Amino acid sequence: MVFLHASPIHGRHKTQIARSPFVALLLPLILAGCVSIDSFQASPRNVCAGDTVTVSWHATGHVELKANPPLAHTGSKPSAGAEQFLVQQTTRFVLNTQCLFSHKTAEADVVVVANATKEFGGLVSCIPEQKLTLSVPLQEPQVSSALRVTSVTNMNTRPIMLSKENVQVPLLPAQTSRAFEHQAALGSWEVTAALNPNETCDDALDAVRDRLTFQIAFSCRD
Amino acid sequence: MSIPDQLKTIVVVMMENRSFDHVLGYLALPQFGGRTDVDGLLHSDTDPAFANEYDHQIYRPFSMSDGPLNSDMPHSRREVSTQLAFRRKRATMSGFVQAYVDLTHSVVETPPILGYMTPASVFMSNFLARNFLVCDRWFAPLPADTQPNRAVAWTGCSLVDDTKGRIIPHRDLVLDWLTTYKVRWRVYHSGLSFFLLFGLLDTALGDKFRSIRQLAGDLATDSNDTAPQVIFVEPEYNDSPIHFGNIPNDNHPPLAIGPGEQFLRDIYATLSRSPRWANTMLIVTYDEHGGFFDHVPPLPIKSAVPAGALYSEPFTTTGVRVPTIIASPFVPSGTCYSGSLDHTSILQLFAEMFAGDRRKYSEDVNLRLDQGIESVSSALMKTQRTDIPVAPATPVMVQQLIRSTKHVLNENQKAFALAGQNILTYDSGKAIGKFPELVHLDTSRSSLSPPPPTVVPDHDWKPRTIKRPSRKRIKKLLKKPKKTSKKATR
Repeated sequence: MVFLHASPIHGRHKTQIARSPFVALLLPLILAGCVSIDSFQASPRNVCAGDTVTVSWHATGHVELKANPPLAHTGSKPSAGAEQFLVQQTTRFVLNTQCLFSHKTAEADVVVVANATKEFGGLVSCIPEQKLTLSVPLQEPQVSSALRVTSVTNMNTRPIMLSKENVQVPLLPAQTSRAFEHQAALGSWEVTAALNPNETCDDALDAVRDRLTFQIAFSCRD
Repeated sequence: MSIPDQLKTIVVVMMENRSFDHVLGYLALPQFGGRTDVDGLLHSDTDPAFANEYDHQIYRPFSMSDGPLNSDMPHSRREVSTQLAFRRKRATMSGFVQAYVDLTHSVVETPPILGYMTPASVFMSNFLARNFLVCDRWFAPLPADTQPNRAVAWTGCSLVDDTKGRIIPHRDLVLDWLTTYKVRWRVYHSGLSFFLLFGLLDTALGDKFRSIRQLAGDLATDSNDTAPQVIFVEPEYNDSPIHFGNIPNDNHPPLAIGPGEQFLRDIYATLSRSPRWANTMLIVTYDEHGGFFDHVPPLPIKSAVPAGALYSEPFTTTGVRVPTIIASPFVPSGTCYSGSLDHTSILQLFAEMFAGDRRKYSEDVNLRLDQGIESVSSALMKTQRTDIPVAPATPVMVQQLIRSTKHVLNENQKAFALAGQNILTYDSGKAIGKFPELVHLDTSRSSLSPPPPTVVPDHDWKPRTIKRPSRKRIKKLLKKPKKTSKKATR
């Protein structure tokens, strides 16, 4: 209907309809408000081949779910819902929603990470005269319960202490350790870095650009 | 540094929405020459300054191929604040992926917001960077989107902190300043000019606004007494609701960057072949980063909230770094300048060059100058190069577009439609002669735009009924625009 009054070649009757106050008021609402994606998620995002992932969404408009590479049970979907898929390889789920001339797209990657590495971490806090500290809780949205640790690597330019449950390991810059081998990746990781003698929190935070990170090499549960 | 005596013509091209790391960061990578003078993407796979976090996972910049993107990137004031991720009153530049997920609900391994170009995609920027001067500390003036940053660029300050479908309230334009100082200037526009969004009517319909197709001819035929001293060259804006003859080439996502590179090539080729090149300086910059990642924190430049502003929270930093290249016989080949610059550096340059003192542009510009923002002249050398690097042949296939009218979607598109509507109302004959694409402007749809705020009455939007000229009348208007045009009362 919008293009009818956009084009000068259409007839007077249609033009008048499109220009009526009602349509004029309604059009912006139709154009702007009939598609939205409020949420779209694939969980977990890092998996083993053969894991089940849950894809959930909440959107408005005509919703279509696609997977690349293709998977069964994709296609047209209700505006809100969740589906489970068995994933054998790294897969991108794509949610398209369309309404008249508007459309929106959201994407969610599920990565098969066995024999691969991923970096985790974030912005740190500082305890004056003691250490930089960061908690990294890895839960189901991030990693599958089937994922196991092969090794961990310190990605920082200063030594860190990495701990999870009852294992704690000191790591020099770029050092790799197998201290967590066969442990589940799922769980709460703690990263700390001691301040140097006479180092202030500001200086330490500047030195690490406010971040600490570490890398996990993954394997899968037998 | 003072301005070289032989510099007579300044050409300014302001593209849209890309960050420094996104366009030129590769210059520092070993596989692309490893320039040690450019603060780019060196060690971006290990240096914590490049680590972006979303949900405890770390994402790092990656090489991306050029092509259309799925969507625009987040870059409103609020979204930029998320990207800068302040800690201890300092920007950590670690929230770009978070902002991308917030806007798009997409969690992918390679979020495009962290993608960077390589020489194959930015062949012309690469050519200019290797043959002229890169500025790797040129920042968008404000951590916000298009309208606030272009307002600072062209007026010295901004009365808005967001982009809306409106005529932009503003202080005096740079065009007014140049006129006051009797500087000859012109605007060469590819499609609708962005200056229309500031409510220009008579000026935009006058002889100083010309089609980009006239640039080469004018350069060849203008005498020393008539040649413009300042030239603004405008791309075809993606946000324009109508295109006629040119495809959008301003590099605004989701556009691919290829057409913009071709545009820059055409501008450089035209200028460098002209008899005026020996006395010319071309400044290519971007209005703001458009949401793309950059690892260098903004400068702590405070801006006062101007009287009449439509926002109350002052800005305390610049925006994100933007790619800027100066091509001229007055810059050394393949070099980088790392002094602090932003868009007001151009205004300082004008003041220095045409008023004899770089403090003579405005108090707003001086406020930034006092906090360390330099004039463009700081990057120039007194001596003059004689070599003229030859523009590369284009490897980009640029599709020719005859006509495209798009549905109004975002605020800046609404602003363009409104500006088109305004100038059509003012003088449809002259307007269509000057901007032929206006024939295709759907004035009824553009009237869907909301009215702007009422702070600056001169630029108020009022709903108007516009009668589209018939085809017969359009033909007549185009033949004899002066005799048949009907002026509004203003």
